[in-house]
Amino acid sequence: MSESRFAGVRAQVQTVRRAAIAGAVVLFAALLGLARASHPGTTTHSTGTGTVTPSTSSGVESDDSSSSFGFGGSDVGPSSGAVPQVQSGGS
Amino acid sequence: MNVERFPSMGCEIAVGGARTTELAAVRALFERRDAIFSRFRADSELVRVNSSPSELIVVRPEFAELVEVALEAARATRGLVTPTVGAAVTGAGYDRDFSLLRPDLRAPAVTARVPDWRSVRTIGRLLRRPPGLQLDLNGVVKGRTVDDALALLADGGFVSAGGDLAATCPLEVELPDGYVVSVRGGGFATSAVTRRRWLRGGIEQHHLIDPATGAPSSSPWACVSVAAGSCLAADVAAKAALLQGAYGPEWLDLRGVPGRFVDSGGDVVTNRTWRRAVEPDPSLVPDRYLGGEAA
Repeated sequence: MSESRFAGVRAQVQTVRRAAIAGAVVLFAALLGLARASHPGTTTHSTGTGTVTPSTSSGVESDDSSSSFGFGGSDVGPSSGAVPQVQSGGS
Repeated sequence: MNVERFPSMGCEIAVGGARTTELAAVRALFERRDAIFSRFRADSELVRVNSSPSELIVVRPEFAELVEVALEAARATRGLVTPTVGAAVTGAGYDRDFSLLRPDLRAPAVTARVPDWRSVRTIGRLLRRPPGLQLDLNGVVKGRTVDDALALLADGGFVSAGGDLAATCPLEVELPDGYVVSVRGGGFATSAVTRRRWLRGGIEQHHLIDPATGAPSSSPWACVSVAAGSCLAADVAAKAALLQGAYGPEWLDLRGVPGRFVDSGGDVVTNRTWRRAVEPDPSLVPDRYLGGEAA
């Protein structure tokens, strides 16, 4: 095998090594970003203008639009005049 | 309809329409949930979780399920009804069964900020929460247990826990001020700050904590009665509406939930959804029950 072929193989190995290192760095950065984004105390929301603002940490102001909690389906009406069977005293 | 009553979860449970075997199953359900979720039983799973220094804890499936329900309630109410108020409730002095509470001269240990409900997670049976965070699942356990108990009645009926109820049959329900409403199905609950009150440091306290302050809510409402699809939903909605003060009636309207509010002076306000369902003809309703429209 000639000297030039050895040099060519070495160059290819170097290229693959650099690509692998770059890929690992990108993957690490992505995982770090995901971990930070999913941490409850540092959750961020993208706004329409692209600005990133932190949410409040109290949790009181969080958005309930994605909630699947069903409040509907009540069936209540005027009293029929019968004797009450239950007292709703307050929990 | 036969109605059986027994004490559990610090209140009276009333069960209508149950066969003997079903009543036994309902009792067992309430007793099991109380044993798991009581803040006052040293051997409860809730006490074990709250005293654990670990961030990750393996819990039984039923516990994990109810934590998920509590987190869903917190999401639906923008964090108002949150399971993270344990330390705040205890700090206000509610640290033992209500019947055992006595006036305490010590000042309330107000928690500056109730922990974020989003810091609590479950993955299967694995519960993750910051060490030291005190869970209180009272906001959902009773309502959910009422709904689960009703499901045990093959021919339907009703189950009530201290007046928070679920029914598959028509039921006349009396509210704290004597007003009577007909619940024809679904859930109904009244949240009040007038019944469970105690003195701490010479200041009256109650159990409904405002997560924004960590102290008992200073809402103008003395009690809020709500009808919803289930007892759990009605109970959560009633608590959230009470905590939101003047915005409570509209908050319920936006979700199509009927609500009746009584303020500390005894004046009554009903929201639009309530009036449509319960008071279709205003001319037939006494003036004192026709409160102002919420802002």
